[in-house]
Amino acid sequence: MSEVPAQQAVNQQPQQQQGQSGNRLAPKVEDLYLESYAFTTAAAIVGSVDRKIFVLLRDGRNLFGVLRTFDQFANLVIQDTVERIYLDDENSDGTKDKVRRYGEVYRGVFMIRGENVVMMGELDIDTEDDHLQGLEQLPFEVVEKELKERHARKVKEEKLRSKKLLSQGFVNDFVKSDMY
Amino acid sequence: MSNTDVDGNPQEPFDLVRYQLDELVLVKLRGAREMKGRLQGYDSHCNMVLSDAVEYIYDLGEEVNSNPTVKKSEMVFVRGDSVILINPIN
Amino acid sequence: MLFFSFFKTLVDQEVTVELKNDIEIKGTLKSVDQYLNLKLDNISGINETKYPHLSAIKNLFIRGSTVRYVHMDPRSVDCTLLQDASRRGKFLFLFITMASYSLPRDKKVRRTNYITEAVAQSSK
Repeated sequence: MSEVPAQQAVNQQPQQQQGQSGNRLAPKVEDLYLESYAFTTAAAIVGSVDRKIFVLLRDGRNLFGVLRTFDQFANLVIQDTVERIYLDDENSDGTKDKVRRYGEVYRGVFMIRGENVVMMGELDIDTEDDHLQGLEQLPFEVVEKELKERHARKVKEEKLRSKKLLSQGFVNDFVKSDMY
Repeated sequence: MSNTDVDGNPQEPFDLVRYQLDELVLVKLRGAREMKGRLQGYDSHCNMVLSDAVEYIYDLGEEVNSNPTVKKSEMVFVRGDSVILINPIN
Repeated sequence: MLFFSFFKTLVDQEVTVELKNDIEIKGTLKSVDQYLNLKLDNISGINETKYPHLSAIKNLFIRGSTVRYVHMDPRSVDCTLLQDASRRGKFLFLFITMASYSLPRDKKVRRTNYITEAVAQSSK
């Protein structure tokens, strides 16, 4: 093990010399690379690797986990993923609940295809659970069932709305797979 | 591409949009929306930037055509995949 | 490419992004890429009942395809330049992109400067 740093030191020397001898070109090439890299998908995500992130998917799922790797399409690999469902306080009959509810379940490792991502963000681990105060936790199955019912209702409503809008010359912007 | 202008240059649909730069346009959008504003820029995806824009949302559950919700924006970028048509208005 | 370059000139400015699901997110534009994916810092103004966890978010990456509008301060947009660039189509912004790659490291350089430069170059 102790030989490794020594080897590195030996390897570094010729490189440094090369860098000095090719001083005229090298910095410019490097600049070009860095400037073009600054505005890529990869550059936007790379800072969140090995950090706790949340991802919102197009089907409305909220995933929380540690980002392990990604690529230029924003395909993501997330470890120790927890899926959480938040129910807002509106009931099917139009009444409002006193307390908003949520449910969560451990899912493990996820590989997410980039096209299904709506947004992702780095979580502040000091305050990430603050918003759960005042929310009532229910078993995941219960919340999931309720959410499915709400989604089914929404699809029905939107279908009706699409028809109504179309008859007036408007195009509805609703896709069944987009529930975010 | 069969049409040509006086100089013999081919005419394309986007030529119409180009003539509307710095003019008022009405853009019809998906989601029962319309946006009126001064066209400041566009590209081939119909992405565009409008200034002094007014957005009309015809989003009423029952009577679709009754008063739309109106929203104003001094400068707005509109993503092209929502655009249905661009209408020059004078 | 035109709007990719356009958004690059808006970096560090405050923008409001409206998504196709009607939520509005206000924040400082930190980065943009060729698909017009946006990265925002200091986000605020999000529907708290539907997305309560967003209060603990440090920065937000938004996929371009879910964006409906981006509202911005009109003072940060050079309209004449944008119109000119639209008239010339893709060619001009090739210049701008090239010019932005050779941007000096000094971040205080006004970002519009290099665009003006590119316009001057292209009309020669």
